[in-house]
Amino acid sequence: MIDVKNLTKTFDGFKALDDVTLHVEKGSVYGLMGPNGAGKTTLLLNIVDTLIPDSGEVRLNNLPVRDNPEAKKNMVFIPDEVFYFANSTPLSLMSYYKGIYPQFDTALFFSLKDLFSEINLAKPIRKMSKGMKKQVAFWISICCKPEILILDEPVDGLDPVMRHNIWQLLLSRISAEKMTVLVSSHNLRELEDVCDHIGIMDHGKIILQESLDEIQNNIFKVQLAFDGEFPIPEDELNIKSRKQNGKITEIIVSGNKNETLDIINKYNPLICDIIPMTLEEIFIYEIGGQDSEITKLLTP
Amino acid sequence: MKSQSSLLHKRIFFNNLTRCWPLSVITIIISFLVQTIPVYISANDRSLPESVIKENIVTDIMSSQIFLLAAGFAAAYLVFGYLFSERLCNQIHSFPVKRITLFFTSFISGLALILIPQIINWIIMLPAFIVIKGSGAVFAAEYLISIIAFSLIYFSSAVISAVIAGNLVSMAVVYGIFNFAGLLISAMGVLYSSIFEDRAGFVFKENAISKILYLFEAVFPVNLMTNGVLNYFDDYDNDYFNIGVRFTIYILYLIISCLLIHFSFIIYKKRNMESAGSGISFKPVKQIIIIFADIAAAILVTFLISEVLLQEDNGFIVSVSFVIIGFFTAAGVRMIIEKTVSINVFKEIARWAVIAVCINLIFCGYNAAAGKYMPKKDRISSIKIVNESLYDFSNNPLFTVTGTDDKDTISILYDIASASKKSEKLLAFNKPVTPDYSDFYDYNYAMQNIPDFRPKYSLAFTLDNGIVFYRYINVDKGEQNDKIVKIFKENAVNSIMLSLDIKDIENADYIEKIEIGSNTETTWMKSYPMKKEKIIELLRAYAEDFADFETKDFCDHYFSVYLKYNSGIEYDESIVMAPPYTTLNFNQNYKRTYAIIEDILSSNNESLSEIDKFYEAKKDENF
Repeated sequence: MIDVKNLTKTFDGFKALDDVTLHVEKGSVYGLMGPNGAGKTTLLLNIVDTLIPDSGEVRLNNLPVRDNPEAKKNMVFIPDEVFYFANSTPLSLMSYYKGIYPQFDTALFFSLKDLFSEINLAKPIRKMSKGMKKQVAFWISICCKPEILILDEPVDGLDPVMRHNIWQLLLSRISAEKMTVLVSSHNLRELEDVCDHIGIMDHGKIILQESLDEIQNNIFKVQLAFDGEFPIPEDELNIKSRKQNGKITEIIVSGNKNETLDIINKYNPLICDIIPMTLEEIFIYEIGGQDSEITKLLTP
Repeated sequence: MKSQSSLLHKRIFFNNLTRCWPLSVITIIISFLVQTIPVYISANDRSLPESVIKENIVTDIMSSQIFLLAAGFAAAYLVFGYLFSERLCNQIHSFPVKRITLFFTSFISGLALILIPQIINWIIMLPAFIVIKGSGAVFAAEYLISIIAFSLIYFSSAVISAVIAGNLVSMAVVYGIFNFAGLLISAMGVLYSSIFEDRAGFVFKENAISKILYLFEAVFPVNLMTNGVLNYFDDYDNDYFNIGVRFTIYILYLIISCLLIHFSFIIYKKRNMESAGSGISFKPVKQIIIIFADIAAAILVTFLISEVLLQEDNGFIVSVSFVIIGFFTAAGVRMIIEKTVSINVFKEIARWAVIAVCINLIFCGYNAAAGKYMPKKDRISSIKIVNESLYDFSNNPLFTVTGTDDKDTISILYDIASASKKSEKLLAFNKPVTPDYSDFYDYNYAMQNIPDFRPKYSLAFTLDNGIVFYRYINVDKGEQNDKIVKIFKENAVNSIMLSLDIKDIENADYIEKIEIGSNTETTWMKSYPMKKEKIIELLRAYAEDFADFETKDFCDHYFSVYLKYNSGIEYDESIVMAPPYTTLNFNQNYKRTYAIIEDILSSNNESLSEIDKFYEAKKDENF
């Protein structure tokens, strides 16, 4: 559905994307995460054909995206800051999008009016709050009935209630329309809730892309207590972190969960609790703590 | 119309029109005020001859469209302004619309914003054209073409500025460069070279650099419209009213517009969209603009330093001030383009200084080389003398001896020019031998009050290969002046007749009437139909008067004509190729002419003497 091959993009000598390859399956929700400056937005802008890559190729539905309306006709992009002309109202913007996307569903637009009851269709968008602007963007984008929806920090800056509402709306449409979604966000907890695949970017590279289940199965936290000192040699388990808290030792291990448990059980632990790590924990721990070591950590 | 297959995207087109309609409203109001109303006034002024009405309409057509300079910029900003907002730029380019469709649609909608209101006004104007006898349809068609041509040239130059620039300020800078840079460079070049003309005694025109300067003028739209291209034609005034020339200009505008549109699209495709908001989005142009700013600053400084050095009265402080101003000009442009104040000052100074020195060397070197050059005498086929010290109020030389090919005359003038070159050593920064009194239009004052005053002439040598070059000569009051006065008198008849476009007095039968008027008492002007014999008699008398003039030298003579009395005889000619009329100036010293005119006037109980008295009385009143 979305295929990115060996994409490289440089800004004034700075490599924002370095040989990025990415694949998003049809119908999947792909979360793109990474620290600030990792290259997420640059990647998305290349995918939607705003930026011209130095090398590499992007294909949507197996069609090259570069200046190709046929490839882009079923794709809608919602940037982190919503687009509107100075004097646009939701109604005029709807009319504009209707002219751009032939499959625009006007009936759907008006049927969703109740969901966006706070929005005055005749009010200039520039006078609306940030949350309302986002709602307008989502409302109109959904009515374009895209097969591919690309979102850049979609709920950034919104209050929790608004975030929840927007995600609910999106998820319902994703499910109903079988959309393919590529979303970048800093909010990993939310990504964890909606994504089935995750790509982690750092320094312009995709350092990991796997299904969410695989990621969470391959890295986990174990709380252990032994009678005496911690007996397991460092090289026997792929331990990436160890913290001692009284008698309790907390380790973060990568690898197969069952094999890891077998090894631990050989040393007769008094306590052995496997605690699954949230995506946010994995991300914060690795990207924030040890930078690009995350590759080694998550790869068995 | 589907976006995928068409160049014009209807939705974006109409969105642009509905979004930006206030510009069209403003355009229609301004267009009505500066285009429609003047044409109605000109076309319906029945007090004027038909030819004058037509000239007035031509002037309306050519001059009224300057407002498009602003309208074109505004339209381009409104339809291509999305390129300056990262948010808009990203979103719009993610739409399923081809780049060429986006560009073309934006272009057409912007053009429509300023063109439709003018076309509406043109329709309103049509009844005004109908009343113009014979030429109404042509004028109507021309006005429509001119509207399209002018709108296109300004709008397309604004569009290329928009696609090069990354924000509104830099778009304005680039647009300014497109429209005024040629004029700036040309003006500076001409001013700079005038220093050498006025002080060093060698003229700097009709040569390679001046042609390049004209070229600079011509390729920029504003200059093109005002006078750049018209300067290429032999006679500005005549060609301005020549429909063929005007259509050539319109076609030129259209061609240049097409080229600008083509280049705009190439830049648009290659433009770095990520640089929306920054100074310059098209990197190759960025360096050109920076270098251009450096060169402009360098020329400015070159000119000003030269001025200071030659005048010697402002001194070192002024010179240094201008060096600093020049540097800041260049550095300022870089700061705008880079959108930062953190520039490498030392690097800027070094770069700017190198360019300034290079420009100075080019100018100084050229002046030194061109100023010293004298061709071999036998290569000169004809020579023209222009008195450069005296000009009338229209800035035309008051006396010119046109193109004599007499070998003796050429030899004398050649020797004067050569001697002037050798003896006065006028080049570069030497203090000129002759003080510059070119500002003294009152020649009498200069003659009486400035002891070392000498008239300045330029000699135009035409070589056997057709090339014309000029040399200034500063003539003393003695032998040189006598020679030149002698040449003037010997060629007087020929010169005067040529100045009237009459090759032979006996064949001046296309002059139908004369109008006699006083240039000082402008309310007095009368027309007198005359027979051919009388016209020939008058012209002959005028020529003889001139040849017999009894003056100490030519300067005194001319002063008397210029200041003491100003009457003119205007010849209304029926031949289309010749100017509509021309003027002979005369005074009481033109005894034969004066007598004939008095004779003509006396038949109507009028008298030049009465006008003289009237003028003298007014003069006494004023002084």
